[in-house]
Amino acid sequence: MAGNCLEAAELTGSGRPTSPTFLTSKSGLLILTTHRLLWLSDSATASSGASAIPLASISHIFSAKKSLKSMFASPRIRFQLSVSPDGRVSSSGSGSGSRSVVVTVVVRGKGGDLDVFLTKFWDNWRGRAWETANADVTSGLNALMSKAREMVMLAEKREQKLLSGSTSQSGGGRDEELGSNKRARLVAECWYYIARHQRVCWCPVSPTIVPLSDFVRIPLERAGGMMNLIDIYCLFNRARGTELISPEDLLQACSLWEKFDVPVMLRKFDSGVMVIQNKSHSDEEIFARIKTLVTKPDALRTGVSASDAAITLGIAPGMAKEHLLTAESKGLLCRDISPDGFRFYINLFPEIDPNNVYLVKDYGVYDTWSRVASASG
Amino acid sequence: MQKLGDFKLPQFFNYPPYFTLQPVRDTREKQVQLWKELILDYCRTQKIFVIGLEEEFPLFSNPAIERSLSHEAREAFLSALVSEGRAEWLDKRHRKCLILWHRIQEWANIILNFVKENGLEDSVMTVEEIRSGIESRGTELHGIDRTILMRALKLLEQKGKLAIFKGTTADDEGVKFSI
Repeated sequence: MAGNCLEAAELTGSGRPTSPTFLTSKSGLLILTTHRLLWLSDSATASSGASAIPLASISHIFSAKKSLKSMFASPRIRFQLSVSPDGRVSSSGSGSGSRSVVVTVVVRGKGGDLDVFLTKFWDNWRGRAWETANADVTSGLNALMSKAREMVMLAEKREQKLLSGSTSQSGGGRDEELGSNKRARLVAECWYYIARHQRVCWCPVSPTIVPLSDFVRIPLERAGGMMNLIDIYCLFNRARGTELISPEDLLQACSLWEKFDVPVMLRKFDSGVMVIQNKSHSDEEIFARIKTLVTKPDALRTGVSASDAAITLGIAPGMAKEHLLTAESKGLLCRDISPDGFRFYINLFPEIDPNNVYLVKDYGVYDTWSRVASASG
Repeated sequence: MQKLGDFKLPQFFNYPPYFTLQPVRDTREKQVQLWKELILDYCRTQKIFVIGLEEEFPLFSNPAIERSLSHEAREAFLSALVSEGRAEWLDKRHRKCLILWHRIQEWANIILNFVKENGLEDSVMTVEEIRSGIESRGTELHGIDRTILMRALKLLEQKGKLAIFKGTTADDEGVKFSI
């Protein structure tokens, strides 16, 4: 971050900066939060001109020297940063190979009360709010995990009890109870999965709450226009950091989209898998690409797996499989299940003449396939 | 072209999805139709009358592409033949299937032609003679499955073309033609 904002200032043996260089834009706004020190240059746009230093990477803040000289010089803020060997700001502190640089901010013009700023800066840095946030989330997740595990076990017990005994109970009521119990269990399992997943891939991201439809836009584009709901769930809660939302909340939020003019929508596949997709996303385009893929000589001979399709289409294997299954249901593909796995082939059945099984017409995919298949065999 | 003994196999026999029961309705209908044709053709040329589902059956696997039909698929294709009257289950558990590449009515006509061609209109023959005697040699009746033959004879009996009577031994029966 400091790479495009604050250049590293080397220290001399006496602890003074050797070359106090500064950035091109000298005019701007310095903002302090509990987590970061932000610099917004006056010419800042949404994409550039703003930088930040996480308070976690600051190893020391120098107190202002009250001397006669300082009365006449411009007031300044000096602090020491840990940077990685390649010169980037690292919040991991003084790890192996990390270096320290001293940054000096010189305040000119009417800059408000610098002393108040310095005190706040010091307080926020000493407050270590970023640590408490992390610790809170970790302990919260631990609690969530054990709670979820408890709920799964409870649901299992109830289910067994319902299944084993009491046939005297009326069938309808029992089925209903079994159903609701199953749902409760599913939710608990979902929570457990999320909590575990969250812990593994935890990284501190700005805890800003953004509207969901805005939030999903960029990850959706990266994923090729469609994402599994559970992945969105993980991403969204990871971005929130604390105050995680429940799967029901997410589903409800997504269900509300159809009432609003948003560019994304919730979709349920025949398999029951739910995804979020761009409204502009077109199945026809995907099918055209799948068709091109499965009519390549190699694919004609050996078919394609979901992961083959995922690579070609640039989407997650889970999504690729949904697309392949949809293409299958439309009669474009058919399946081959063998010890080699689950593969899809271009559907040749419509081209085969049942009244003359030996006939291969001189045109069409069946003909191409026959030649490719006999060349390899 | 690949062959199974002297039986010529169609190209699609090397198409792996042909060996996986297709879940999509239209695709499956076509697949079932192609299997029905192939099973009947194969059994007719190889004179196979009974397919045991739990036994090896050459048509149900293709070593060239390392694919074979699952039990479910075998049962599905044979059931399709049964529903069209081109096959019959011989047991309740669907382990053995009688293949009727000629329907019983067609077999009855073949018997009538055989009787006429050999001038046997008023003769008496045993069932075994029809299946393996000199007269039937070289005809489709030679080596016919006993169950199928009896069913065809009973059909003709109902129509008054012949009478079936118990023979001298318990396991052979006689036929008196009256055409």
